[in-house]
Formats: sequence, structure tokens, C-alpha cells
Amino acid sequence: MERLMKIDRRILYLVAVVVLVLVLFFPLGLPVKVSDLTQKTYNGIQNLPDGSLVIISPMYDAGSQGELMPMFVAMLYQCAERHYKIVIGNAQWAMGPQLCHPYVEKILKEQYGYQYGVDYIEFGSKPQFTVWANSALSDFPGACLTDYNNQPINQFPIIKSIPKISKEYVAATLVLDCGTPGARDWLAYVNQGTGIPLYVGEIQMSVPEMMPYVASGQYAGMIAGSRGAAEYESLIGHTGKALKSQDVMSVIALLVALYIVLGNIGYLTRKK
Amino acid sequence: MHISTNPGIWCQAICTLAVLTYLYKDNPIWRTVESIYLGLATAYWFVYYFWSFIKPAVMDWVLVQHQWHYILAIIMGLLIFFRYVPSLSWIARYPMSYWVGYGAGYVLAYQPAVWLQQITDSFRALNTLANVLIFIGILCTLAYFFFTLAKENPVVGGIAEVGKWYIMVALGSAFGNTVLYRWNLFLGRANMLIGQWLGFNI
Repeated sequence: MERLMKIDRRILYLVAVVVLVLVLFFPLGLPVKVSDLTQKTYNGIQNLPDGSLVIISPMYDAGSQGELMPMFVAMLYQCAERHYKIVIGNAQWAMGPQLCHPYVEKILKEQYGYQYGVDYIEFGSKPQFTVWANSALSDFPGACLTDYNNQPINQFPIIKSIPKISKEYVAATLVLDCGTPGARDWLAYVNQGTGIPLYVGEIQMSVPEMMPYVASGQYAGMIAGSRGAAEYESLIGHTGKALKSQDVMSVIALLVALYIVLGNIGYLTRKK
Repeated sequence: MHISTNPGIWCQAICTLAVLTYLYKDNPIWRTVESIYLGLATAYWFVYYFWSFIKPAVMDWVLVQHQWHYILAIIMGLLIFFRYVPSLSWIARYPMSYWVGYGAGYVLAYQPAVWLQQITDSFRALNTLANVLIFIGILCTLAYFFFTLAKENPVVGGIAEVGKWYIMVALGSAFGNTVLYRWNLFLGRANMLIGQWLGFNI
């Protein structure tokens, strides 16, 4: 039994990869039940007043796009269905807007006929979140200066709808977070003071850490990891990458739990 | 199966497989790709930050828009490079001090409101099992970190032991979520290799 602790880790990796590939080719069709947290988040965004303006902030880079991009896409679909005005951008995460731009063009422009500068705008990535946020609270166009294509942002009609970030002009902020600065910085420097509801898309790793903010009501809602993204996709009726990956994630979770149990059996039965 | 002819996809696939060879053991292929990645990333971010922020600050804001106050900020930024001159490295402390001071002040101005709401929320009515468990957990976990109290005392030791179990459950939850997160990242790579590179319909 002690040998269970000494299994070469490369065998464990190989077994996990083989299982993963098998489930990719032969999906199990396991049901995805929507949790209360995801339902609450979906309802909150869905029930914003007609014609609302929302800020979607993709605060992530290529390393986290596997989990957060499906959430971003789902949020775009939901906001487009409700015909919200959408402002997209962030500070200090330069890659986020670049990764999101193709999806923004494909979904908002091509599928929903959104007009750039009128119905939506991308302001790209600005340096230093705290400085940008402090400035945007009193002068949003002045804080951004240029849009994603480096054009002066003041020329676009949608900017007149958001002279500053305040509850009067912004109905909600949707932040996709994978580190610092992230949702907690939005909360501290923007949402806590203005009272604008903050909806967060969080990577799986950070979910336990962020749950106190959900419990205290500081986050109006949270999409928790890839499972949350899959639930969100099922709610908006769009089968994306997250929903397709849940069979694999379920099987992998069971396999990892089995590894832990075997390792513990080996540990507990070892000769002292 | 329809193997991709896109050079970008092939590059992704080769680099992904090269990095994954590390799972077998450390080898020159993985080291080569690691060095290429570090070099590319450094170069990319240097060029990005220069053209996105440094060049506009100097060429547009100062020279075109005549926002002369940015000159002070540019000078402060350049003073940091005196760190590379040993006899004059003390000059770099001025912009660093301003930077740290501004940051600390800004955080102290805004963060307490966030923490205070967390503390306020911890005062809950003990009318549900969840609230009782939260109450016990907060007190016992705090007691675990009271290092000035003698843990030999059976009451204090018992409370701290309960706190220790709460901490272990929390760490276990964090560990489990981290494992799933890492596997999800690998799943993304597997989807690229099998779906985009090899062309299987999955």
C-alpha cells in the first residue's frame, strides 16, 4: 500500500491526459445545473433598465483567457440581446482588450448590428489603474483620451452618455478578473464609492478568496470559474467553450479526487 | 482528421508540445522554448509600452498639446535610471519615494471602506446554521493567530485547534479550485492541439 505514495507522477499525468482526450472524443452529456449564484448574476444583469450603459472590463491576459473569455462572450451576448450601450476597456491589462476585440467585432457589429461609437466603444487599455480610475470618476473622456484604435475618444457620440463614472450614467460594471489590479480594485476605487453594482467573472483559483465579497453584497454577483461560465452559457442559450468542457472537468475532478484518496491511503498505511 | 496548414497554429502546437516535455523531465527542448518565450515577451512589452505610453506622453501630450506639467513626470521617471550609476543611485530614491508614498496614501484612502464592510458583514444573526458556523469560524481562526496566549491552556488550545481545522478546510478549498483551474488551462491547450492543429471535430 505504501507503493501508492511512490507512483511515478508521469504515470499519473499520462492517465489524466488519456482520460481527458477520451472524454473529449466521447462526451458523457452530463447535465449542468445552474447554481443560485450564477442565476442571481444573470438576473441582475438581465434586469437592468432598458437603454442602460454598462462597462465591461476584461482585466486578464492570455494566461487566463481559457476561463474568462467564455464569460466575456456570454456577457456580450446578454448585453447585446438587451440592447445595452457597452463600453469595453481596462487599465494595466494591455492584452485583455486585444484578445477581446475580435469577439466584440464579430458579436456586436456583425451579429447584432451595433454601431461603433454610437452603441458601443472600446477604449483599450490605460496605464495605472488607480490613476485612471481616480481620473475617470470625474472625467471619463479625459481619463481615456483615445479609443482602442488610438483615435480621440471625444469624437464619438456614446462618450456624451458617460461624462464620468457615476451611478447616474453607468448602470453596472462587469469585471473579468484574474489578478491585481482586478475586481477588488474596481470595488475599492470605483464601485464602493459610487454605488454602481459590480458583477464579477472570476477564475476558479480565486473563487474561495472572493466569496466573502459576494456574501457581504459588495459584489452584486459572480460567475465562478469555468463551471460558472458553463452555467451562464446555458442561461443565455449559447453553447460555448465552457459548456462543452464541463464533461472533461467533471471527470478530471473525480480523477484528482481518486489520486488524493489513493495517496492518503498510502500515507496512512505506511510503516512508521 | 484534417491537419492544419496554418503556420501560426503549427507554431502554437510545436511550442505547446515542447513546453509539455517538461512533464517528462527537464530537457533542452523545453529550455529553448522557455528562453524564446521570455525573450519574445520582454521585447513585446517593451515595444508595446514605448509606443502606447512613452511616445504619446513625449510627442503628443508635451510637444503637440503643450501640457508642460508632464515634463516633471517624465523627469521623475528618468531619475529612476540613476540606480545603474552606483555613485548617484541615491537620486533614484526620490521618484521611488514619491511613488510609494502616493500608492500608500491612495490605498489607505480607499481600502478601509472595503474591509470595514467585510467586518460589518461578519456580525450576523445566529439564526441559521451557516451563520453560526461563520461566527465560530471567525472567532476560532482569530484565536489560532493569538501567539501571545498559551496554547497549553486547554480552553485556548481547543479553540485554536478548531480554528486550525477551519484554516485547513479553507486551504483545501483553495487547493482544489487551483487544481481545477490549472486543468482547465491545459484543456484549452488540448482543444487547440486536437481541434485546431490535428483538425478533429470535438
